[in-house]
Amino acid sequence: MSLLSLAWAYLRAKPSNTLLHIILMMLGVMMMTVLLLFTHQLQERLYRDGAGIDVVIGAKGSPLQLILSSVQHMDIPTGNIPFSAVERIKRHPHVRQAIPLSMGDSYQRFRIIGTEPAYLKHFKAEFKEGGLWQKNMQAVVGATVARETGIKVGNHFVGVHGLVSAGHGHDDHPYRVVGVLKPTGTVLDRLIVTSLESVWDIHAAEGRRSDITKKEVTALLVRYKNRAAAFSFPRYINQQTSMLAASPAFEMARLVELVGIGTDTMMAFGGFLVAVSLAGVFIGLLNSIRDRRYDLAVFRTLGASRQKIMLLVAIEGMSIAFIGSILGLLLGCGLIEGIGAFTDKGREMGLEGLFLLKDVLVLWGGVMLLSLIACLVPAWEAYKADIRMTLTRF
Amino acid sequence: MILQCKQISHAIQGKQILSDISFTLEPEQHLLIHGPSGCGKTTLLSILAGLQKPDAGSVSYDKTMLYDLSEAERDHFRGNHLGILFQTFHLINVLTVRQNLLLAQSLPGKSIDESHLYDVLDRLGLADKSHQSAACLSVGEAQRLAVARAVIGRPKWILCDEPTSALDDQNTAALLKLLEEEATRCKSSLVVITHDKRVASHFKKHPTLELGGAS
Repeated sequence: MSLLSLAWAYLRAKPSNTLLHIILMMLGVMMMTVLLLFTHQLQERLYRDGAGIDVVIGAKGSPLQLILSSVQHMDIPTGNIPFSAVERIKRHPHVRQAIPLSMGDSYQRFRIIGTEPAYLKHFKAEFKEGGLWQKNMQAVVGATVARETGIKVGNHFVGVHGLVSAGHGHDDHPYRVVGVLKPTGTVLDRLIVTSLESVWDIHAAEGRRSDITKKEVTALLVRYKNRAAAFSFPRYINQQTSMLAASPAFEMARLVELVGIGTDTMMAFGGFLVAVSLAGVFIGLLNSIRDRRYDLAVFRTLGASRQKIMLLVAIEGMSIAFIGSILGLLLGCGLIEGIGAFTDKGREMGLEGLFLLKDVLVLWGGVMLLSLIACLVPAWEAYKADIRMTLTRF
Repeated sequence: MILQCKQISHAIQGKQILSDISFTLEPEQHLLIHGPSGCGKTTLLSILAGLQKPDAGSVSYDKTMLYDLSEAERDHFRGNHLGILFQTFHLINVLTVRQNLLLAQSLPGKSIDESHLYDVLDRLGLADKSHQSAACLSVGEAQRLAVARAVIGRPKWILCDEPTSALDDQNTAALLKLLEEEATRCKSSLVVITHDKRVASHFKKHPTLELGGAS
């Protein structure tokens, strides 16, 4: 009969205690796993989409809104800037590259972005089918758009006005799909990309503008020629023009910090649950050693060494920690996977349960290590126990 | 297989409990250690079992000097060569009858011998209870299981600490008979520590060591 089955017999003898400790451990680890996976994937998504963009220029408003609208494509834009400004900025000595984005329409909630081919290069996009637009009213769709709408090369679709809720349709101006992109793991997967002129033409033809030659863009994604520009260029835009310059890295850091306060609190609560479980296991083991000092003395007289007794107590505690934490990990990963697969927001974020397995394993390792420390104290008590004193009370 | 105690003395908290105890036990010979409560009987048993190093003197089983061994080696020796029967049996209640015996085989690191285990259970009339929890046994059954646990490892020496103090006359007689039978079968020596006159009268033919008062 192994020490494991012996420890198991003791755990089964007190099923309600054992179950309670396992459930507490499970909930704590689950909570921490969910938060870890969620915040890391949110951060990664936020930073990944902004990678390679030094500054975003748009209409005056909230810098965070400008970044979220034109980099992550989550928020609504702050407004438009004239295309003449784009040409001016492109010629600025500090600017290596400036990609204009023009948005305002959507198809089945996926944004239609008017831009230049450089935008696709920025994401290192590759074509799964077809190729780049050659004429107006031709569009390239991201991998997620293609998958979820079922749209293919050669299909036509009609954009509707508005980014979030469906407005009126531009029924007279259908787009033709000329290319489908391979997945990039970025926001591009969820975009429909076309030329700037296509977007302008639709709105001009509708006669919504008094001056049909007035061309506007929503935002400009800028890369600097050198680092030094980071100091002077945004100041130049913000102070000397009527536009706004915002840095994705800075705004995302600010956002993560704001969100971080909430997740830190929840993480601490998860840690608290784990601690309660460990305290329960710890006190439970200490008590059971007192209750069971006769049993432990009998094991010694049957020929078990002190080390074996110590191991037995440790195995008992660690079994609870092991089962509880593994269940917690599985539930946590499963929950994130489920949210990623079955909810709109989760799909939009691209949540995955098996993401960042290493960090989750580190969390698990940490919990197991803490458990071991919590078990060592009672195990040491059992090791020290003077069985002769117990025997004389027989 | 000779058990030899030489000039054992031991004090607990400054009080001399045992002084200059010596005896030799030949193979398959039984010994009764008799004396009133508090005369150091249990201390002597602890010393014989390798659980308590005496202040002076030595214990040897054959050529093994018990207290020359390390503590872990003593634990191992005890598990392999000594059977111990306690006053209140001290069965492991969370385990079944069979598991209690398996434990006595596996804790000292011996291989499991199931057929021997069922042999012993059968002989002691516990075969049909083997999968019952030890907590559910009657006094008589618990007593037989305790004996089974003490003899399962075929020990050369069986140390019994007040084995009959909680038993009525009928159970006492049954237990002593059982112990003798099992000792004969295992070719082992019984060392019985007791203040019980009933045991003393049963062991009339065997040497007796009187403790307390005089010594």
